[in-house]
Amino acid sequence: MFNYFHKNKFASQKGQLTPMFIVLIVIIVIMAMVTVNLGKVSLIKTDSSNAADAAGLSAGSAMANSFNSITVANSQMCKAYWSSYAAIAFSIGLALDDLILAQIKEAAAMGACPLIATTCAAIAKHTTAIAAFGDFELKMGAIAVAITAFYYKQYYTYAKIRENANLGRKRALVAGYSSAFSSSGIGSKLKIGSPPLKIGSPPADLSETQKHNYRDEFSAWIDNIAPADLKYYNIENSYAYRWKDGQNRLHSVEVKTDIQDVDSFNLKVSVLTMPEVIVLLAGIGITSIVVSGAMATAAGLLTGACGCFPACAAECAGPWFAACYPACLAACIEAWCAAADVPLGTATTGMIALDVMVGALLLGLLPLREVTSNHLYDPFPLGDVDIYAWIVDINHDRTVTVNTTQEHQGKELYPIKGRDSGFWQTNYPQISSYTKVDFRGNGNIGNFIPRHDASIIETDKL
Amino acid sequence: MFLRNKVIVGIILFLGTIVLSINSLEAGWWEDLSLPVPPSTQEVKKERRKLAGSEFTFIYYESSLGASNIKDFYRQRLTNAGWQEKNLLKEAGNIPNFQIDPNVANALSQNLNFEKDKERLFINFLPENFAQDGKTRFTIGKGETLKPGQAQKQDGGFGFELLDKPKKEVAPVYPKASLIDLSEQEHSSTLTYSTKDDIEPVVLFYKNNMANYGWNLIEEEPIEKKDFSTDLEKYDLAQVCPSCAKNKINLLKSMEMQFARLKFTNPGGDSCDIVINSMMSGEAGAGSLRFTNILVRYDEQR
Repeated sequence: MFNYFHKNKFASQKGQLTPMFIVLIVIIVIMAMVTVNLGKVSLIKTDSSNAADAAGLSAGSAMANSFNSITVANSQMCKAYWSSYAAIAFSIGLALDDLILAQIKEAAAMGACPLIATTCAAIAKHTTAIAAFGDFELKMGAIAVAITAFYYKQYYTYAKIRENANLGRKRALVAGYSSAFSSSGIGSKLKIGSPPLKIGSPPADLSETQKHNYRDEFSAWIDNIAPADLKYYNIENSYAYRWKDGQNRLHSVEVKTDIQDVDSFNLKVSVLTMPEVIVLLAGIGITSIVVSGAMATAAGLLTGACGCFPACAAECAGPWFAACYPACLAACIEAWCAAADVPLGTATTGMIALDVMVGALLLGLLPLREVTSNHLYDPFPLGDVDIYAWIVDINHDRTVTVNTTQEHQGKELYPIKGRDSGFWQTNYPQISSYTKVDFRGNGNIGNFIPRHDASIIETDKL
Repeated sequence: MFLRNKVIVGIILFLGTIVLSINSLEAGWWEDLSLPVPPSTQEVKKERRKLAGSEFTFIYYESSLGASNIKDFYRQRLTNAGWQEKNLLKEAGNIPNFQIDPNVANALSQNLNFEKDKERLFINFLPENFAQDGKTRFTIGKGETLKPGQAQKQDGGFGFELLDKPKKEVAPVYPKASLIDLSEQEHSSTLTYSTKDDIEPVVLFYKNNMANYGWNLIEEEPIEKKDFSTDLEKYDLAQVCPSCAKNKINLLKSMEMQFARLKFTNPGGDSCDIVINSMMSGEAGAGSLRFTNILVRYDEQR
């Protein structure tokens, strides 16, 4: 063409600018096509970024809500611990009162028995000790019931919080995926309505991807990402929606949302584990049986000692009374009191052991230990030994990361018969977007502040 | 005329001073003179319990003050109100041949005890700085104490009964079971009952009677036993119970716990879990532990 114009450049003055125009037109056409393509690519990028941002914020907000709920529930768990601990500590205080009274009266009875003047008074002191010890046993029984109930309640509350935290994560993932696909621009590319149906027959013979070319199918697909009851359902690592348009071009939008599992909790727990508490309670129960038995034996012997007065009076009746009675009384009382000393000693030793055990119980229920719980034992609650007070923190990075990828097959320009590809392929490049959302906000699980809030902290560069 | 204005201004100033003075007093003082409340302290909840035959009121407070300030406050105010401080540690010191463990002494010193006539007032503190919010949490328990031996006559239940009733009855209550714990929130509640009956009739009761409250059983974990003998082998039981004879120690090993769980739901989507556990020390009688706890957890569908 250029040769033709070059050879005929002196033949005619006309058409001098034609080659230039042709060149320009070609360049303009190419530029226009590139511009259209770039515009299309930037539109896809915008859709992809919107999808990632929407998913991140949506999942982040759902996670923030979930963590706020955990914070509130944790505050309730702390209150429940506090309430039970206070009532149990109060009962232990009252029980210790009884025990100390029993010990003081028992020591007084021991001191009073061998003295003639106070032998019978020892019975009254011992009777008070028995009564006080009975009250102690009653309170300890109540405390055993309360501690066991307390353990289960705290365990169960914690188990519920864990269950809800796990559900919260799944809901956040579902919210993220739904938002991502809804904001990815897919809807505007699809045909309105449902795939065509043949009357009285199954749907038209369309492939899955062809059926996906309809908005109603797309909506139904989003709704079916996960069932309403998520408890036993595992959300996939990524979801992709693929459809073929009217020209049989394949389009694909893929979303991947990452949220760390919510399964590692730091907890404040009581000093003693439940088996240790049971050992202590059982030890207290058995020692109490020993002490009660010894006290009952001592009561009989002290009564015997007090019975020395009428017994010796009867034995020494007569002219030798003045000489006999004191000697009889001294020997009799000494014998009975010596015998009573053995069970009284057992009771006293037992009660000292009880002081230590009850004190250890009071101390053992304080929330002085911290543990990390990475999983719940199964079956409920046979294996878990700690008495939970409250959650200090959840080991979680508090972020949601979303990656979206869109791939759209372009139009085959000038298709060539017998060949797969046409003269000009207009496939668009794979477009990806990335968003990272932080949902920490000002909330704090162990500080009982429910102000977790989601915000975008990182995106890919456009 | 000028004098009258002066009088009026004077009266207004006088009344203003009185109003300001009253306002500066702690609200707690004029609510209940017998139980003062330190400044910057809020009541969290109140409950009534029957402990070993005596009725006690528990009031739970959260305060921005430190525990030592609160203790000083109560020592001063309660002593002025005629209460006498009772020192358990000092009393324990009167017991012959007894030396209190320093840790136990520390645990006991966290609490304040006061007595006035037959009344008992007990202030219990959760250790400071445990919760990260920096607040001090304390509880005041107040009630009448009984003479030695009276508690056994007056107590018919477990000695740990909660006298408050739940606002909403979501499930039937096992006959003669005592309510021992209650937590109610807007959309959920947890109640704990105790009974001296074995676990089997309790499980049967809930399986048979929940339908009357509109609940359908959806899941059941049948009764399962937990034998403690393996767990207890880890502990030196002779050390735990030095005064126990060997045969008595063996009793510990016969302790048994049982569990069952029933899960219910209603047409509205609400859920109700019944968690039942029992503890038996192996032989019935004085000193033995035999009881069944029933935990009722209700969650409203939202």
